[in-house]
Amino acid sequence: MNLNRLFILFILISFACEPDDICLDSYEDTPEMIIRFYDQDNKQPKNVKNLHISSDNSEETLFFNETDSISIPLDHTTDTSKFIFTINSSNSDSNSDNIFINYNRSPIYISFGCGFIMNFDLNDLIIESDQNNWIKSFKINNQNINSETAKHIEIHH
Amino acid sequence: MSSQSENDTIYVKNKYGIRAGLDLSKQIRMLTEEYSGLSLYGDIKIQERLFIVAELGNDQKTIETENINSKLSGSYIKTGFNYNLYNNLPGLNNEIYVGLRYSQSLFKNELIDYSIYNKNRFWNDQRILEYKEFDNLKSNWIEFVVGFNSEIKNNLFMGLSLRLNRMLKQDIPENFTNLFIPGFNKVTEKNNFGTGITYSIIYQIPIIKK
Repeated sequence: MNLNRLFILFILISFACEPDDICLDSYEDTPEMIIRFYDQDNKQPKNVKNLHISSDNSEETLFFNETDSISIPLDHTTDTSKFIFTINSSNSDSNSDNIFINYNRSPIYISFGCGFIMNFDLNDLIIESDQNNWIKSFKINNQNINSETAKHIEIHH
Repeated sequence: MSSQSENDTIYVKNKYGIRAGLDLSKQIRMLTEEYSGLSLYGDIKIQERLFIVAELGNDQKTIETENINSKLSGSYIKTGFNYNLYNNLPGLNNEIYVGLRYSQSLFKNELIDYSIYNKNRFWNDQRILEYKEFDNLKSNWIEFVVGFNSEIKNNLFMGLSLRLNRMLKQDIPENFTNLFIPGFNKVTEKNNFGTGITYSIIYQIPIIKK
């Protein structure tokens, strides 16, 4: 057998198989917190209109036209996320409430391609009181934010 | 009569003895990757075609990706045999061999930092700095080897081998993984196989000449 030929074959084989470490879309990413809105009196689902969500720690904003259910991402770098929830944001009767969400974080290893995701364990919610809070009360339904299948929080307004 | 047979064997010049070597592929990798390592090789010819082989080394590899920054370091030992399939012309000492190794590794896995996979870009994508060290991890595996050694000068061999590694057991750190195992090389998920290559310089210590 020709040693040179064998040598070349070895080199080719050794560079041939490098697996792709891509993150497939089918992997769940970090779950968001699901909030459902209810009427404060009759406890029936009640839409919020023109809900605008921002935070002092983010340049991004979220906007929901008219819905009784939203999901929002929590800040995975700290144990508190602060949001400003503004309803009727396009009108003159807009009303902003500050919400602080406190939680414990637990990173979960997924794969080399996707890395880690974060799960959250809700401790409490604080609605900063002002002259005219549109959020009347809230309820934590599920404190473990590890999936997006059911509501975690109810907000009554 | 006895002097006649002695002359015959001297004419064939079959070399028996201990060989010691160094895997230079590690030094080549050190130039191109965040890697350092050393691997020593030793074998002894116990039959015309059969060599008992031992390999000893250590690896230190840093893996830096968009998602994970991890460092793996440790030592390994591989023992087994090579069987020479090559029919040498009289006086030549080349090998084209197949071999098998049983390999064990003791290593440390460090998770330095990582990012959080989140499709929503509302928050800044800051990495989580949470150093974790997983010590005394063990792993063992089998290696199927094909390769050749060619005598380039008297008693000096150059060798190349390709390995297919089949993982038997590895200690996986809790809520993380081993992206690399010293001696085994890159570990892929949901796959028990790995590959390796060696490029060795081997020196024969001529103790026994039959």
